[in-house]
Amino acid sequence: MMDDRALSSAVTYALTVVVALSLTTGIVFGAEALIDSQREQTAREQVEVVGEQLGKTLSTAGRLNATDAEPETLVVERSFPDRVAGSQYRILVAGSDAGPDRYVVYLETVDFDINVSVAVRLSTADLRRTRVNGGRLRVRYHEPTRQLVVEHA
Amino acid sequence: MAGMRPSRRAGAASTPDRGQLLLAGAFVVAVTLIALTLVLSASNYTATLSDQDDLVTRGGDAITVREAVEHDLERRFAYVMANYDDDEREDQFHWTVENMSTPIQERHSRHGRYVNVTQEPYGEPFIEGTRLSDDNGFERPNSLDDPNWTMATDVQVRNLTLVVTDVNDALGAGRENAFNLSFQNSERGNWTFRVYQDPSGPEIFYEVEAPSGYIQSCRRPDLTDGHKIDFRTGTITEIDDGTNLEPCPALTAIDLDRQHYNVTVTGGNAASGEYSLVVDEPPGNVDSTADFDGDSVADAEEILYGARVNYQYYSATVTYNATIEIAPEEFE
Repeated sequence: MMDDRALSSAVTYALTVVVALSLTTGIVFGAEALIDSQREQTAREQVEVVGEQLGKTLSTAGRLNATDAEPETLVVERSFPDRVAGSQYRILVAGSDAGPDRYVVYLETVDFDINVSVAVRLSTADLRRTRVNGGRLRVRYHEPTRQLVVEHA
Repeated sequence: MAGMRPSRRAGAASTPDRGQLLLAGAFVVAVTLIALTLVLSASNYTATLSDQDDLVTRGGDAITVREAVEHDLERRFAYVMANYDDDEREDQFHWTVENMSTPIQERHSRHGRYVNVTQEPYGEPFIEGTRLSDDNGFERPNSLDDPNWTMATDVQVRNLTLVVTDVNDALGAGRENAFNLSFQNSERGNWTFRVYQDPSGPEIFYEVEAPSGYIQSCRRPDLTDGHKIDFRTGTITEIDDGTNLEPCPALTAIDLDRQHYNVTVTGGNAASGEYSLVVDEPPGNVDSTADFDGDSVADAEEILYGARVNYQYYSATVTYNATIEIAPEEFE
């Protein structure tokens, strides 16, 4: 009677594998959702930090430009990450309606719907409107046009 | 039966094999999870940004060092101008800059930065200008005492001092009868400085009107020996003892911002006194309706009031090369 009620070893093995796979799959899917959420949050925080640091760098370059005579050379290089949380991001430098010396740096990620903007005020030089991908950047004073230019280093 | 093994129950016979299979399966699952973790971590790798931003990286250190060097140069320039004769000042300041160079390089090289100051002999290493002055009043000199005239055209104003000794009671008090000194720029608008007597009392009003039309003023008691108005320091001093120096915020509001202005006088007969105006152009380039040819009471004197020094700053992230202009104040 006992042998009749027992499961065969194959069934026991199959059940073990199925339960193990179910648990693993559940963990993976659960972790994926959590990781996606965390990635987006991390990406948002990273582009915010990149935007703030780029904005401060532009302000500092503007202050370096505030001499009686125009600087002969003014270059500030910054090593920002190529990707944030695994996603590429783009940087757009644009003017602002707030005033002629006001600018806005927009940052947007490729994989996530994240857009961050940072306001920059420059009274000593114009800022060239441009679009670059994230990564190692150079802020340079272009004397012929009296503009600060953001470009890839 | 010979050669035959005793029969065993199926479950008991396969237990070691199933254990090995389970172990192998668990191992595969564990390796898969670890690999998955590594792949996800690699794809989501995020650099730490907080430790990549400081004053040196951003360029703020270049500004701090530049301001320190500028202050040091101004102090040395003032010393040279105060302690050496006219014909020695340029050589002495040039020598001073050369002596600054090596200590500055050594100090900053310890922190991984190259900083240097030089004064090139070519170009225009020194800033010369003109002091326009007249101690015989504010009317146009040598020209039938015209009260409305142009002191200088298209110049940068470096320094300005007025001494007001009297106001013309015959013209009457109030703003409409004021002495006006205007700084006119077609793009930036006009700044106007006025002097007039309070219509309801003996006080003297010193008034500044901004290009926006906003008016600020300082009032002082009736003139005795006169008031000295220093636009650079924004102060008004009683002439009698020279110690009663008081700030006048209206004066410091004037922002000429190194732009070119036409300096004009209207109502020059409304007050008496003297002026000293330092501009950036040499005497030959100062266009004025005053007569500076020697017959006039007004004087146009060439002076040395500044120097240009090249400043270099190199760090791992910053390359900066600029000319610093040292012009702390007017010197004799």
